[in-house]
Amino acid sequence: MAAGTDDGRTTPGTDVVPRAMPVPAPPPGVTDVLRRSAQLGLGAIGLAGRAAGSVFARVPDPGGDAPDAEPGIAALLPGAVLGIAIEAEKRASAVVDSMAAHSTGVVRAVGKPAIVQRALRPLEDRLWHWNELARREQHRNQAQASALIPVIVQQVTENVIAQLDFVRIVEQIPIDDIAASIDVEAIVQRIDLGGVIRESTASLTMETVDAVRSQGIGVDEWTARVVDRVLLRKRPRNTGFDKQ
Amino acid sequence: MKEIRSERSREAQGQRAGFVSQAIGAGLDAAAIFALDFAALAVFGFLRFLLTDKSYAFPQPGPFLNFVILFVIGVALLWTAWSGSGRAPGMAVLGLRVVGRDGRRLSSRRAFWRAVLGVLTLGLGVLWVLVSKKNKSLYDIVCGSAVVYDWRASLPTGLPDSRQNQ
Repeated sequence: MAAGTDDGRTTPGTDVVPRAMPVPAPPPGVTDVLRRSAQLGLGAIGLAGRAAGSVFARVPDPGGDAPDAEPGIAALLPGAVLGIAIEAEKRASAVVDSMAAHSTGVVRAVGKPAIVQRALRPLEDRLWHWNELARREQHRNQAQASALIPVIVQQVTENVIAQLDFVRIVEQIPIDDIAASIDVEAIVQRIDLGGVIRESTASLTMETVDAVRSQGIGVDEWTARVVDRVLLRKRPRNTGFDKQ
Repeated sequence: MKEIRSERSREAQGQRAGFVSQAIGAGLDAAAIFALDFAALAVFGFLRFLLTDKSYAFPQPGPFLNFVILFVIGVALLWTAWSGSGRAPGMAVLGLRVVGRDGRRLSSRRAFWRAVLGVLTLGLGVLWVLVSKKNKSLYDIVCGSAVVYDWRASLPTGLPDSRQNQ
């Protein structure tokens, strides 16, 4: 949009350039994201290692007839490596935090003079351009990811189900033991059978009575119509109450 | 309370009942009165058998005494029923209720005179419902009452207050 005369010409120096909206910042800072990602990653590695150990323990090793070696100092290595990684992650996070805190003040002080701001203007424009590009592209990327995730989950679930032997699983359920542990008498005692029978009987009786009464109303109306016709009445009977 | 399924029957609730329903209700009430009369005579005969040396025999009162017994039982039964719940036994079966002219509970005085008139005329005053434009029986006209469909235990609501029935 350009401000100008009616013939479409624009006046120099009056162009209004709309500014793009910045991408909303994520709730946690970048360093927080990195730190939590690292922590989660290390946790996931630990869980994966433990799960792999459990799985391998259940699968027989064809060549593993030899007796297991005595656990020595080598057994501590995986844990130690993990500890080093955690320590490194903590220190890296501290360094990043420190740098971010100091750089903010320095950038603010350096960027204050007008000449610096003017010099940085092309850079800022470029940053805005990239920001707008990221905003547009990120929408599309997120939509694609949202569409893809259910497909992946479904595919994985179907593959897992296909691997399961349901007959074997059901056979392993101790149905007889479960049935034996159920106290049928206690359950029956907790159910008010008399009340259920009473309620259903009363309901049935009431429906029958209602049907008879409904027939009575029909016969009443029919009788009134016949008598009114014999008496040459045009208007129907007023069976309501008069407002007083 | 179970809801009334039929829409026509739902709409009829609170309206003045027609001839057939009122006549059957009156007939059932008469049957209840005769049953009570029979039971009273049977109890009397049994007590007489217990307390005297006479052998058991069903009492055979004369016509006048029998009429008096029926009158007393009938008035007592209908009076208490109409001034209380508004339902005598026969009417309760058909889902009818006797109310005042304004749709509220019938006063004890009006219920008494309605019962007296009903027993003396053997319930034949119901015949007037056939020709009444408002389904009123002779008793309704004289005593300022009305017989309405009321299948569930509730009086018609939303009617204005009136002293006419007091």
